[in-house]
Amino acid sequence: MSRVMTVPRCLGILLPAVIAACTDAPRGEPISIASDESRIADGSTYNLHLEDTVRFTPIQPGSDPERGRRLFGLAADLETSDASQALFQGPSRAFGGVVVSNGRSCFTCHRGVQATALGLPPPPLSGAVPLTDPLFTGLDGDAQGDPDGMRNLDQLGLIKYRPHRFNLARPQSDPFRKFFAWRKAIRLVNLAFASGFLSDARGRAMFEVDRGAVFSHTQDSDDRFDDLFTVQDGNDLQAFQFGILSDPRLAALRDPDDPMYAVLVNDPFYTVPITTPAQRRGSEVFRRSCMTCHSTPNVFNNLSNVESLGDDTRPPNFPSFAPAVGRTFDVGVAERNRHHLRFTHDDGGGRFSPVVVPLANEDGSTTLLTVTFDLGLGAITGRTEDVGRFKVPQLRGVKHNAPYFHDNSAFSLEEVVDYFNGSAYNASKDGRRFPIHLDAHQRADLLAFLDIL
Amino acid sequence: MHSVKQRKRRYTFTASLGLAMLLSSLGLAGSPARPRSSGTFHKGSLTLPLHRGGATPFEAFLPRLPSNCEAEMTITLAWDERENRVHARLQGQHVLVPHPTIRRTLGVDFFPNPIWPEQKDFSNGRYLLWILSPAQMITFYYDGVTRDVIGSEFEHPAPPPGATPLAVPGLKLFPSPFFQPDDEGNVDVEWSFAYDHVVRGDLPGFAHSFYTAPPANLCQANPFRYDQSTTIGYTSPARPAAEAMTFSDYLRNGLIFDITVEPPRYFTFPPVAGQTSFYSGATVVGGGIPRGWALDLDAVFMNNAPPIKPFAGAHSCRDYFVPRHNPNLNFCAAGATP
Repeated sequence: MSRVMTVPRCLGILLPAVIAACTDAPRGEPISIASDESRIADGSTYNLHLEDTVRFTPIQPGSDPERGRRLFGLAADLETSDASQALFQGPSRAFGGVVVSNGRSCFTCHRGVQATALGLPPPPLSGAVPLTDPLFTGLDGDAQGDPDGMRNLDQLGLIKYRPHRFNLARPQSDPFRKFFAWRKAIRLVNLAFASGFLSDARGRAMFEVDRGAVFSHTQDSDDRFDDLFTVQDGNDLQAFQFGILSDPRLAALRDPDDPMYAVLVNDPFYTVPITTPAQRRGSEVFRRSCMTCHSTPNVFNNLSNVESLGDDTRPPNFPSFAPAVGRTFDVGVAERNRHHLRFTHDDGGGRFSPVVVPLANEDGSTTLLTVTFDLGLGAITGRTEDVGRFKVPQLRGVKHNAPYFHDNSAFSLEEVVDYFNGSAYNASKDGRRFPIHLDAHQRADLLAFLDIL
Repeated sequence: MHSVKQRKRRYTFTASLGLAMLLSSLGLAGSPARPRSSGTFHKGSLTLPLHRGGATPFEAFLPRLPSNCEAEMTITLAWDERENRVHARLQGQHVLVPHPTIRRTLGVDFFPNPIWPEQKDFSNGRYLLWILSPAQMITFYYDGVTRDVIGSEFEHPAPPPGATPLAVPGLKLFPSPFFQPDDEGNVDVEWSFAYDHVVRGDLPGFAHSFYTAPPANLCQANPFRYDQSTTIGYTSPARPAAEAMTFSDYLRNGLIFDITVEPPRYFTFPPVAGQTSFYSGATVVGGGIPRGWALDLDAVFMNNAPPIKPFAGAHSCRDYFVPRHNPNLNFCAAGATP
């Protein structure tokens, strides 16, 4: 099968990414997908300096991915647990005492490369993980006594996250400290192509993400122990995680000097094993209807990024201003709250109170929003416009990754496609900007294509 | 042919600048200007409204403003790397007092700073717009006995004997030419500079300075918690023009804008900025900063709360002092942690 795009084929395609992909990609420098596009980015939600460029966070010099694997808690077989070097515990000046780990490691929620693409198995989790596992016994590390914690974890595969939990300068009563959400453990395969990390994009750097995960999942309190998590730990963990790729050929996307870099950039489906007419037609449906958001060639997360100070002028534990993230979208999934998840604050004794967060509107006014669904990026930026916005996940191996969405609210790819082809998506904030209306044939072709990703 | 190409490029640049200005002026004519950007790091434009208190450092003095402090200014930038040109325009109506006189009170809204020499009061002041952007780490030195900050790597190219070094994240900044509003308080200032060689508008023989807020004393610094550290402001003397950076170095890391008043003659030379603020804004956290909101520097650095918060000086039009970053913690005291 020819992988070289022909000029006539290029001319029939409207997406800017594909127009750019038809041009010759110069070796040795990042290829700007939007280099000739005069794209107006209003400032209400997005960083004003986003670029759609194939450029990803570098691995820190001197990092050791093998040590990172051991810190991760993953055995050399990449499938089983080895927590012998994974636990972060001991005397900590920052903590003000001795940190005692609950036995969890990164592996606890990211179990095996082949088994789960470094995520959790489908719920109920107790069907695959014994109840004596730290996943369950260490529940209070993140649920902190929440009465819904065990049910949501076991039955739905959802973990309680409080993104501003470790802000000890604010009182516990601060609404942003009280805010929480129920989300799945992200599958870490192809993490090397992310810009902004975690489903709400709040992570500026992997160092920050990994450190926060260690704080939040291995002990019950809101206290930090920064001195038990060194810069070298963060560098090594990142190097290990960035090496977990769904296809080794994708590594070329991270290196503009690699001879395959331009090939992978110019042919977004180069590594996709398209063999049937239905799959090929499905790739065209995907190109037209899905790649506005799933724009990274051959990976299919979102390409928009900020080239901040990833040039070693700051150590990774001092990333640039927050949040400096890629592009996020509100596709209406959070608002529907399909699992009827509770978002009220657990006051104890069976009492619950609403969490009301003050959000900035573009005109400077304030909206007091009572949280009844996962606010996504809105809880991170404190802006009304960002409510319901989430990162765009990568799609390689997607057929093995059910259930889908940040809240595990779709159980099959058919459900996902039908959601985006339905009224809920098309009425959502970004669905109105990028509507999707597929007929039955297009739907079937798209599913055939997704099946081989 | 070459000249035709050049002319075409110049035309394109002028047209895009004109479009940016038009968008900017449309914003001024009706509703407040919205943050907008277009293009790429190589060629593009940015329009951003500036408000009182939007993006100010700790210990900044914000004088009361005309138009009951409700007016806004607009900065528009248009850049073209191939043309090697950045054009800036700052506009606002009834926004500033010409040749202002500013009086500050010792211990109330003015605190002498050993690492930031600054004139307390201003008469017949003149204005500068500063463009800031995150930069590399800056090393400070602390006295080995008192643990007080001595100065930075810029005053001490070699570490002072017995000093303790501490690296702190910094920002770089450079100003516009001096400007004054007309008698009505209106401002319409334009200037240009080279894309590949960003120098001061008031002193083209100098490039950027560096700004940051290091701990005043190591006993008052939590090494892991900026929000639990007592800090003071620092601005380095302007660096020589030979060290000028490209505008790309600014754009890629996000921008902050702030207007200060400066004395009619430089207080030090090479000069540093004054700790005053009139209109400010930022793209550094995305989305600009809405009117009545302010950058929350603790949250910006720690990433553990929204990066904007309501501006405490909003809804009144009095002189305002951004509080010192001074939790008064002493980690050297017996039993203190960490």
